[in-house]
Amino acid sequence: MMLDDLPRHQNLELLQVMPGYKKILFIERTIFWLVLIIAFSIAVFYFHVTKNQWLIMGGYIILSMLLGVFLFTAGKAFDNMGYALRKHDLVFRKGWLFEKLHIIPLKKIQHCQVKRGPLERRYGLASLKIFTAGGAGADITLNGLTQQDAERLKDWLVISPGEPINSTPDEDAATMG
Amino acid sequence: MKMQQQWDKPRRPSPVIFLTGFVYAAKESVGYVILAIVSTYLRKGNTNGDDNSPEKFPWLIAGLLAAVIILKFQKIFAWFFTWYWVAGNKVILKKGMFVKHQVELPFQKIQTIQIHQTMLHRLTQTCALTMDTAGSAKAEFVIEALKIDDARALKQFVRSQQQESHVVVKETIATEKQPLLTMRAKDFLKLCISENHLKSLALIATFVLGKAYDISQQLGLDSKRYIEEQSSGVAVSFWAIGILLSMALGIAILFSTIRVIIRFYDYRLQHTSTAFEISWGLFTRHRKTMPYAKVEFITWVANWLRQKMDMMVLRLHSLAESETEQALHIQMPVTNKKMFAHITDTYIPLLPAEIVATPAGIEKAYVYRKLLMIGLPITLIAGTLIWFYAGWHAGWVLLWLLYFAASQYTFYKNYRIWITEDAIQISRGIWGSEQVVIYLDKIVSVALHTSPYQRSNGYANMVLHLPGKSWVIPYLSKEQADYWTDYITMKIEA
Repeated sequence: MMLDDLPRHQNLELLQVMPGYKKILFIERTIFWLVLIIAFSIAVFYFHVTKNQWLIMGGYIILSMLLGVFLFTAGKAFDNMGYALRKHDLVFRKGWLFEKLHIIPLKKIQHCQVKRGPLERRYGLASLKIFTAGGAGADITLNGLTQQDAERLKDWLVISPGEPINSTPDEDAATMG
Repeated sequence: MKMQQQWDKPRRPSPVIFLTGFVYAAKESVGYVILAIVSTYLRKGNTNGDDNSPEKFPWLIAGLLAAVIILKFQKIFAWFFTWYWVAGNKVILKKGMFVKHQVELPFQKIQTIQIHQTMLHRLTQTCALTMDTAGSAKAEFVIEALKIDDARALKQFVRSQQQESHVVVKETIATEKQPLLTMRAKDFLKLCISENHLKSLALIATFVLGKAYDISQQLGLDSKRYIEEQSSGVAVSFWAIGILLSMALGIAILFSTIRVIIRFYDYRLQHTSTAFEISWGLFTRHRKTMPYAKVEFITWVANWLRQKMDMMVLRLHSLAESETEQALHIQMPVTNKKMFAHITDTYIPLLPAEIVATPAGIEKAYVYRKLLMIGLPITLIAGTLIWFYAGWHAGWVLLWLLYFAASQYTFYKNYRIWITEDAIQISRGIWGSEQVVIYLDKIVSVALHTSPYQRSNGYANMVLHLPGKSWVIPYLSKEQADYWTDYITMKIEA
C-alpha cells in the first residue's frame, strides 16, 4: 500500500452518532449539577454554613451558570463527535475545546465490548468499547450507536475486519447508521 | 511426556519459604521497630529517667513480633497453603489460607519466566520463581522459595512445551550464549560518579524528615520548634555552610555508590540467537530473559555528566509493560558508544538518525505557550504569596521564571524527530538527553490532539500509542502532523 492509496484523514466526512445521545449527555450533566445544587441547598438551609444572602444568591448563580456552560459544551462536543470506518482503520473524533482525533488500525484491535446503561436503554442506544493491546490510553469508546449498529460493528471489527460490512460500504469510508 | 509426569502431581515450595516469609514480614516491620526503639529512648530522655519504658522494651519488641506474625501469618506459613503443578498445557499455582486463589497459566500465554535469588536464597540453594503474561500489571505466578534445580527444571519444561507447540516465544534453551556486556571496576567508577546525587540527597532527606515527623507524632514533640532551636544555636558562617554542603554531598555520593553497587553488582549481559539474558544484583540476584521479538521499543537516557562521558543507560521495553510495573523492562549501563552500537544492532541495524540527515523539530510556539500557561501563572501566584511574607524578596521568583524559560527553550532546540521507512526516533531533553526508537509496526494507534490555540495557529500534538506507553510529540505544524499521522497509519496497516 502506498501513502497515496490512503484517503487523507482530514478530508474524511465523519458520521455523526445518533441524536438521542445528545439528550443523554444533557440529562447526565443536568443530573450531576442538580446534585451539586441540592448539596449546596442542604449546606445552606440545613447546616446553615452561611446566612449571608449575597453569598447564597451568588452560589446559586454560579452553579446555574456552570450548568449552562456544561450543557453548552456538551451540545458542541456532540456536534463535533464523529467516526468513520475506512478499509483498514477506524477514525474517531471527540471534544470541542480540546479536540482529539484517534485512528486505530483494525489489525491492532484486540476485542470489543457493547455496553448499555439505563439511559442508553431508554433511548435505544448502545456504546461500543474498543480495546487495543496493552491499553495505555489507546482504547476508545464509541457512544450513541443504535444497539443493532453496535453489535454489527463489534462483530465486524473482531471477526471480519476489511470485509464489507453487511451491505457494501464504500471502499474507503463505510457508512453506518 | 516423562517430564509431564514429573510435574503433574501437586508440589509444595521449599520449606525455606518459612524463612523468606519471616524475612519479608521483618522487612515490612523494621521501620516500626526502629521507631519504637528511638521513641523509647527519647521518652526516657524527656522524662529524666522517671519513666520505666526501658524495662518495658523487651515486651514492646515481643509485642511487635507477635503482631507481625499474626498480620503476616499467611506469608510466613505459606508452605502449608501453596501448591503448584502442571495439568495439560497449563501450569497451576494454588495459594491462600482463608481466600483460596488458583492461577492457571497456559504455556502459550507465558511471556517471561524469572528466577530471583536473594542472599538467603543463595545460602539455601533456593530462588523465587515468577511467570508473567502480557497485559498483567503484576506477575501472576509467584513462588517465593523453590529449590533452584526445581525452578530451572520447571522453566526449561515450560519453554520446551512452548517450543513443541510452536509458540511465539522461542527462548533459547540450548543455543550458545555469547557474552555482550560485563561491568569492570572502571565502569563502576564512571557510573558512581555520574549518578544523580541530587536525587540521592532528596531520597535521604525525605527518609529522614519522614522519620522525624513519625517520631514527633508519636512523642507529641514539636519537631519544627526543636529544629529551629537547634539551628539558632549554631553560628551561621561561610565555612559552616561549606562544611555542611560538603558533608551532604559526601553522604549523597556514598549513598549513590551503594545504590549502584547493589543494582549493578556482577552485571552480565549475554545474547543468543533469539534473546538477551541478563543477570545482576548483590543481595538479590536477578536473572531475566527477553526474546528479541518481544522488545517493543528501546530508550536510552543520559544526564549531562554521562553525556560528557559517553555513557548512557539503555532500556529495552517489552510487550505490555505498564507505566508503574518494571518487571518487563531491562536496563543496561552502557559505558561506551561502541558497546551501545553493538547492543542496539540486535534491535535495529541502523538507527533512523543514522539514515535521515535532517531531523524535524517542534515549533517555537511550544516555548511561548509553556511560558504563558505554566511559567507566568506560577510566577504570579508564588510572587504574590511571597510578597505578603517577605516583601521585595518576591522578586527572586523572577529568577525561577528565567530558568523555566531557558529550560523550555533548550527543550525546543533539543527536540529532534527522525522518521524512516520502518522506524521513528525521538530525541529530547533539557540538560540531559532521552532518546527512543520505535518500529512503526509496533505502534497500536495514532492520535492528534489540538487546543483552540493550536487549531487557530496550525499546530497539533501527535500521540503515538504503544502497548503500555504513549509518546506525545508536542507542537508539530498541523501539516506535518497530518502527513505523519497518515504515513504512520499506512505503515502500521501495510
